[in-house]
Amino acid sequence: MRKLIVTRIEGRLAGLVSDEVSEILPMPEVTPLPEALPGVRGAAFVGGRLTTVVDTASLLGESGNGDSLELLLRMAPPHDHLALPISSVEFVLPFEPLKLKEEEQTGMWRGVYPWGENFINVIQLPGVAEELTGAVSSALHVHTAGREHGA
Amino acid sequence: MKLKIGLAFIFIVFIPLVFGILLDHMASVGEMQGMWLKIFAGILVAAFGALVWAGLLTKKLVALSEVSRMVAEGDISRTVEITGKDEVGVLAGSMKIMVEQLREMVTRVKESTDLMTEAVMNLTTSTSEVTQSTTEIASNIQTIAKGAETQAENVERIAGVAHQLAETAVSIAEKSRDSENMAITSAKRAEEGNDAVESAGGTMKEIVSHVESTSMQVRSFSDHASEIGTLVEGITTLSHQTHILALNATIEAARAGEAGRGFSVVAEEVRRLAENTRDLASQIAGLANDITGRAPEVAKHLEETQEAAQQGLLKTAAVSEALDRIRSAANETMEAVRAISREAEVQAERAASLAEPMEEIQSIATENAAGSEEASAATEETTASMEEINQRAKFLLKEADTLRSQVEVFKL
Repeated sequence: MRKLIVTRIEGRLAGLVSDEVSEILPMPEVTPLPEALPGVRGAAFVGGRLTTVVDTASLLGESGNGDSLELLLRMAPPHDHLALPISSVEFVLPFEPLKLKEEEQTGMWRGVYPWGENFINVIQLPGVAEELTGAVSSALHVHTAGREHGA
Repeated sequence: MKLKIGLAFIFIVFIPLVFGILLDHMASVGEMQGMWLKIFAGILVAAFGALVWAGLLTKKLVALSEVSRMVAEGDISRTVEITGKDEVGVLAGSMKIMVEQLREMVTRVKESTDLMTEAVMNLTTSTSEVTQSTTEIASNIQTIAKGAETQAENVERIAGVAHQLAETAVSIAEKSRDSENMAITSAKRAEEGNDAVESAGGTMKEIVSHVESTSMQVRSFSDHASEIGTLVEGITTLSHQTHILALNATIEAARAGEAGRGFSVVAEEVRRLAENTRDLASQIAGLANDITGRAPEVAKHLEETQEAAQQGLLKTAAVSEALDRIRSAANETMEAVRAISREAEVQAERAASLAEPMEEIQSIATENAAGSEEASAATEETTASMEEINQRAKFLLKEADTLRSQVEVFKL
């Protein structure tokens, strides 16, 4: 049964479908990448793998409210090389795709999901991955090759 | 003598009478002329006869008369040399005796007058001296009287002062007794205060001990709170990790589909437990942090309290020492006041005993003043008497002078 993982990103609630999430980890040390593209915070080793950490604020068009990023949410394959930092996981809801209103999806947003009398914006992680994969992967692989050669 | 007088009478009276009778018979010449002639003749005859008889009879009388005249003139130096056995001689003898006695009397009178004059002079001198002395005595008595009056007044004032002194001494004695009682009370209060301070000192020591113990316990609590905080951090981390694990389990359960439903439930419960644990841990951490955060403040307050208790203990000791000194001073004061009280009572008794003699002295002084006044009055009377005596002495002197002047008429 699919779940809607309701997180707090940049001070507001954002839902993530559990199918699009590989795992949730404590926030590791993120190494900033020089001359990285906008939307990329840096890189981190997660589970023995080099992972690109996304700059959530820039993706959301926010300037960053300074909330601490306590968790790192790695995306499900095939985008498991990307990870989304979040402040916290507030709660988990059963996800019923039919309740999702997709007519309001814009960019990385999939739509809104009803929660009581409110609605929760739902992020589509594949969309975020697609925006970043082509531009980042080459730079990331060059960097990875250099480090493996040096090690 | 009688015979001579008789004969003289006969010549003087009878002869003219007879002659006259004879002539009456011869009254041829005018009666008047004849009368006058008779008379004249009678007179001549009588006179002649008288002269003759006087010459015979009064020669001694004349001598006696002369003596009498001289005596009358005051010359009694002459003696009567007439002798005879007749009446004239007897008269002369009597006059001689009289003159001699008169001379003797005048001499005695002169002598007495001189003596009296001398005595009067001496009396006058004495009266003057007495008057002067009396005047001086009167002046001195007046001075003494004034002095006695002043003395009486002073004695009266002294008596009044002595009375006031007695009253003051009594009042001082009473107040000394009150002061003694107050000193006793102060000593008792100091003793009670010292006991209270000692008790307070004991309490302060207990407080210091309790504060030290409390401070140690607070430090222990703070240490435990820190340990709790550390444990809570570990629990929080575990709950966080558990929460993440539960989320991942949920994600895997969701990915497993129907097969993971049960696991999803378990994961969900585990996630809730983790959240609850995290919340509780957060609360505990908050409390622990609160305890830890307040512990230094509490410790500081305890240290301040301990320091204050130490200061209080020191001040209590100082107060105890001061009260000891106060108690000693109060005892000394009490002894001194007792001595003063006893002395004041003695003074009061002495002052009371002084009042009666002073009253007697005052009475005596008043009597002395009155007596001096009387003496002064008597002296004045004496002076007046002396003055009168002096006046009379002067009168006697004057009379003596008069008597002398009269006696000096007599030639001795």
